[in-house]
Amino acid sequence: MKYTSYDMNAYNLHIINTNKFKTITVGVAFRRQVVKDEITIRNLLKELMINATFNYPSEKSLIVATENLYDLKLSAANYRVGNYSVMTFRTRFLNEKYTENGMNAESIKFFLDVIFNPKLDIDIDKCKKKIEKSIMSLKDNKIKYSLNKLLETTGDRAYAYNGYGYLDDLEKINYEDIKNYYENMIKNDIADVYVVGMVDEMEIKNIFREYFKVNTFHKDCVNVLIPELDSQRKMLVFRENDQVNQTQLAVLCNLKGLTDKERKYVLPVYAEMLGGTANSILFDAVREKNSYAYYVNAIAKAYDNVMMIYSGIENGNEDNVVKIIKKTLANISKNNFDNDKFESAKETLMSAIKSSADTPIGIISNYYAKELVNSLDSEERIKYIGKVTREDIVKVSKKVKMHTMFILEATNEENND
Amino acid sequence: MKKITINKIDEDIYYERLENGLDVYLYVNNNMHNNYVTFTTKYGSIYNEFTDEHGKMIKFPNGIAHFLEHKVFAQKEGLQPEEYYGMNGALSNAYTTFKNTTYLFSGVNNLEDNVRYLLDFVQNLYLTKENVESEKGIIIQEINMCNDRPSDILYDKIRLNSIKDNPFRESIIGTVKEVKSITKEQLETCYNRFYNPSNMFLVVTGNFDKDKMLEVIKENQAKKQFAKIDNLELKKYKEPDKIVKAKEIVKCNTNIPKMAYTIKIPIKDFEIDERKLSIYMFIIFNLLFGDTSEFDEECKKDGIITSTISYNMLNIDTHLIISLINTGYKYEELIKRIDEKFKNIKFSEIDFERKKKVLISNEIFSYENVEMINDMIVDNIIFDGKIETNIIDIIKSLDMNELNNIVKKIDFNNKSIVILKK
Repeated sequence: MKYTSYDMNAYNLHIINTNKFKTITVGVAFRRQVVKDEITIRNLLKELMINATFNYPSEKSLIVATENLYDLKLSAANYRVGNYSVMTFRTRFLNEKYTENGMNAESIKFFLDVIFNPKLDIDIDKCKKKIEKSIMSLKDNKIKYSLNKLLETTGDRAYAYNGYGYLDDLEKINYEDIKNYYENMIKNDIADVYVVGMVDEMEIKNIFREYFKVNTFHKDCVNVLIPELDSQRKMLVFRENDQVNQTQLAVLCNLKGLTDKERKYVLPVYAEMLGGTANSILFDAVREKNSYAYYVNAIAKAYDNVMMIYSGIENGNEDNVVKIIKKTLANISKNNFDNDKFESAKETLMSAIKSSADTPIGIISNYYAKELVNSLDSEERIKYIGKVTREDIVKVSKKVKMHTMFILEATNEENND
Repeated sequence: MKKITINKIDEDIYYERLENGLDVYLYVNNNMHNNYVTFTTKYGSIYNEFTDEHGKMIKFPNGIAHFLEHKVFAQKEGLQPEEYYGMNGALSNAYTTFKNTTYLFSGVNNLEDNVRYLLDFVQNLYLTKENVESEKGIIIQEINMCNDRPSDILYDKIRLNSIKDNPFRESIIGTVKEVKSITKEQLETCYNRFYNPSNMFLVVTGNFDKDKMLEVIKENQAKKQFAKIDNLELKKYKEPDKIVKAKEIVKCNTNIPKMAYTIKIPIKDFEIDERKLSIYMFIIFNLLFGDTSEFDEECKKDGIITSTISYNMLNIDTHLIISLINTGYKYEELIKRIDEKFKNIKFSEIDFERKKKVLISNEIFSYENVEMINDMIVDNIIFDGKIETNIIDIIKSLDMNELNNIVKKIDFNNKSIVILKK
């Protein structure tokens, strides 16, 4: 695997040349600071951009075109890392070794045409309905809904916003808004391009030089890190009822004063050990020892400065589960935790980094993390994680404070027959 | 070891049947870091009526295969599987389907020891009255979680309303009442009947030396004794061709209504290889309702649907249960349009050939990572009993006349509709 980054003035072209795959994957990422009012239009724009182009002016004709290109895969997604909002476009297609000569170039040109030549004035209503549906279906996923509600309580922060968007905003958006936003994004967002597969680098460079139409240079001045939450003397508790069989418990923890090393290497180990897999301390205590839940998880959002713990539990057991969580957090900060679980957490993370190089998407994410958060090379990250000590964990655990809790209480009575 | 070559994709899978009957499949890719290993028994939720050693047919509660999956994980002493695998950074898991139960791990280190450990923990059951009882609470929480997911409720209803006398109609996990009734003795009986090497297979995919790996597996198995399984006969079911209920509206806590339009198709009506038949079905419904169909374009334009109808096929051995599923408010109008569409079916040769190209491409796409390849092998064994080596040629051989003949034989009126709404 050989990595080369080409400075194309307005953007970086990163080529990862490898014979690992039968496919070639191209990813383009646009990023800027998260703005609440832009979430909905960004979601809508993403839908419209992969819906139709001037050359293929309907959803149907665009999909037929991908099928003719040996079922080229095309996708778009919006996600958030700290204060960054990232819009990515991705394509994966069979290396021309398995199809016909010239298909690599043709496929990449097709993909760039989708990005730079989208037809945004048709199907606006259709795509709006799709966004509306995704906003509405949040409530049908009780875990996501509860986490969303939990984060919402923190007020005006990038993670408190609803990533699916807002119905009020959606209604107001018109074609002019979309067109302006698109042009603004192409002009002002910071762009990175990744190509993974067995390719001729000169050919790729030339295609991008000709067809990747971003030419304004811009500097990245966004601080990815979201400020810490204010300390709370007592944990805030929010409750809601729903006609469900299982109560959802979601806890938000504040992370206070982490160093960059702690954030990158110690916190992941801490969260993994606490509630990462079926081998975690919480899984053991909540599920295996007490049968209170089918699942319990902890996820650290390092660049949000928060960690979340969540579990779907039998109604009436929320106090018991909260007690276990509190006790577990306290024990870790007293250096009272199983060494096997600690070592396992490190091993699991190191393996995950190694195997991320087995998929094109994993490779792209690793390299993109360099741009977003100055992440180091995989080998170095593995080395640092290997060096994390119990004392490091104790230090970090003292910086974790339970802050807010959200409970979605089950009101169905018939759940135990 | 026998080499199985997937023609036209140039990938090799190695196979050997061990003395105790265990089938071993090995796929090596030295470019990868990760290894993915599955150990499967051909025992899933539908096999809950079978003969005991005296030839007497006995019935077990629904959900027992899934319950057993939970318990096979529990070890008498020392490390539990997730702890053992965690120690070397691997992840372990298990799942139960209608026809199989699979135990698996993925990880980059310690492959040989991890494989030995997988064989050992699955081939050793540790049950006590207490650990059976304590598992019930966990499984009941899992059932509650599923019952809070509208799509799970929909799939359960589809089967209840289209399948009459076949255990495919029941949920894999069982009901709270059934799970509560399961005993230690019942679990042991099922384990002894179905967790025999002659009913199981191991698939190792990843970066390793195939000869050495086979040695490791053989050595491990040679040390163990297994009883011979006599008189094992599974209950056969006679399934009527007709659906059970034509239409049902289910009240459910869902924000947006969900609709499933299901057709029940007897396999005996077609004199054609089952794999080919299911590919034809996929193409037929994809051409009619998929994202390149006129139907899809018009329904979206008219605001009847917002996302393409999804296609789901369940093969219950005697019948194909094919469902068209959508989430949206205008389900009645959608049902009408589907009815109309079935009255007037026409296919174009260009579209048909393009779909074949898509299917062939996707066979190559699926050789991208060790998990997908492993899943594909498991799937092949469970549904066909063997690995299909000529899949590309099979797809190439599909033809338009045969497609049209199949369509003519489908009774589109044999349908069952389920609607979930508040």
